[in-house]
Amino acid sequence: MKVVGLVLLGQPRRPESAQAVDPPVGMRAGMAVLAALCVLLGVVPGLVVPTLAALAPGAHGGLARGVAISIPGTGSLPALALAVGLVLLTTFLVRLRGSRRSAPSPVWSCGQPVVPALGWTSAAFTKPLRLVLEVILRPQRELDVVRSSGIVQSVTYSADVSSRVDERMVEPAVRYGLRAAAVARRLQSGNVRTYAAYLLALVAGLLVLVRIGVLG
Amino acid sequence: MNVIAAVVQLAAIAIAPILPGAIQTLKARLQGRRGTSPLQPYRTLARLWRKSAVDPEGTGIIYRLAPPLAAACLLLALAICPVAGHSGSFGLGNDALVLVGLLALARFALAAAAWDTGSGFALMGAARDLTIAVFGEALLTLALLVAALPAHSTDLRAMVAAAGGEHIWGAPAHWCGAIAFALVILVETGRQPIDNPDTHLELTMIHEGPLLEYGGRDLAYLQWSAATRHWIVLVLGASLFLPHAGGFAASLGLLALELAALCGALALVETTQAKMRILRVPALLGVGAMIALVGLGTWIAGIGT
Repeated sequence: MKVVGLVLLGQPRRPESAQAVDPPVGMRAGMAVLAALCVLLGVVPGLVVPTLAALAPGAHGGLARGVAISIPGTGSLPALALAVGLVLLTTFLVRLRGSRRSAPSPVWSCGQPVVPALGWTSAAFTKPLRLVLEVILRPQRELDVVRSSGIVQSVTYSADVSSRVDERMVEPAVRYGLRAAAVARRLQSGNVRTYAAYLLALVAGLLVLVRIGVLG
Repeated sequence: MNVIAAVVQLAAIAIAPILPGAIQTLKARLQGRRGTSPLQPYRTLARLWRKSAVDPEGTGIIYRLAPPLAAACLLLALAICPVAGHSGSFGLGNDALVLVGLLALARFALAAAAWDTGSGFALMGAARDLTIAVFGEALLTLALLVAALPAHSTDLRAMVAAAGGEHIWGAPAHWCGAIAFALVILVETGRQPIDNPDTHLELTMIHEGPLLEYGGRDLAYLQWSAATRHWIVLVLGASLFLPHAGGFAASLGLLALELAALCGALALVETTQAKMRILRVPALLGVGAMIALVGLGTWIAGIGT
């Protein structure tokens, strides 16, 4: 939501972006095709879902192939009908609304002019969610204000949400794995005689195990 | 029966605004005020319908499209939500998860419109609305899942049918689902202690925030959508977690009574509860989710089934 809103919607936030021009068709087509495929998959899930369902372990019979999927045990999902209904109803409501509009008025912000510097940022938009999830995400913030004789010279701000899973699970696993690998590397001397000694020790060990009855 | 159900579902377009109107009236009475008539939402809608729409500077198609899209989502949701266990054959199915998706799409449209206006107040409301929605929608899905367990289906008609009878009240899962859904009703209707629908201070608005820039028929669509949200969650709550009557006509009558009772309960909650700190809301919803999960656990363990 915030990416769509920040990048595509609202007034230009910088003078440079006000003069932005669309890239040539070739560059847009790639993204358009991918987006169209996503929409198609959503609207006509019957093209893919039965094949996927047949792949599931224990699946038998499979689902009927068709435009709409009717999975037993759900209230059926006529995605195409829903999409068409949504488009038709929206068009109807747009028509019903008519085109009567008053003169353009400034956006309400308690009488202040809306200037780009007062525009909302991505950090501001996600602030409530970050505050709520503070316990889990533990965001780190640093704010350095450099003052000299009471005048703020510079303000540096940095915020970071570090991944708990990476810190607590992945990084220790990588660390211990590398340490174990270092130990294992010592075994690999590259000397043929050492490997012969390993084989001999292995055979002797197996023989001992057979002898005392642990194996076989 | 299905034809009558279809007529009631379509009539809900006209009936829905009376629900918030009745809640406002009841609340005013409980607070010792005279209050407005329950028909006030209709007067507001009629007044808005005669006014011209507002066009803030620098807004585009998203801003203009959001109200009709939100209203269209709610119209489809009305067609999907069965009344008294029956639904007209609109060819749209009756899947519970589709309903969740439609309610979410309406919310997304409004948040996108808030970005389009770039107004700080609209964005503040949208940010809070989405933050609460992250938890509220999860809770709604969980509560619906608990209700879907006895039916072995997410078909709303089957779910309503499975929620009838006396034996269901012996299952702890049903009680847990009911408590979770009560919280969902507070979230989706935007009522205290989660949101204050009466507020006129921009800084405290949640759901009303993104509506600030709208006027005329756009605002009429959005206010109607909010009223229809009341209808959908209250009808769902009554059909899934309150007692049922035998026949269809009796069910319809009982549904009307239950809707009235739920409106009264909402008015009572609004009167007795102050608005929560917004950061506490997810914790409240988390408690609801825990209760729903406990219900899920008891069902899987086979208690009362």
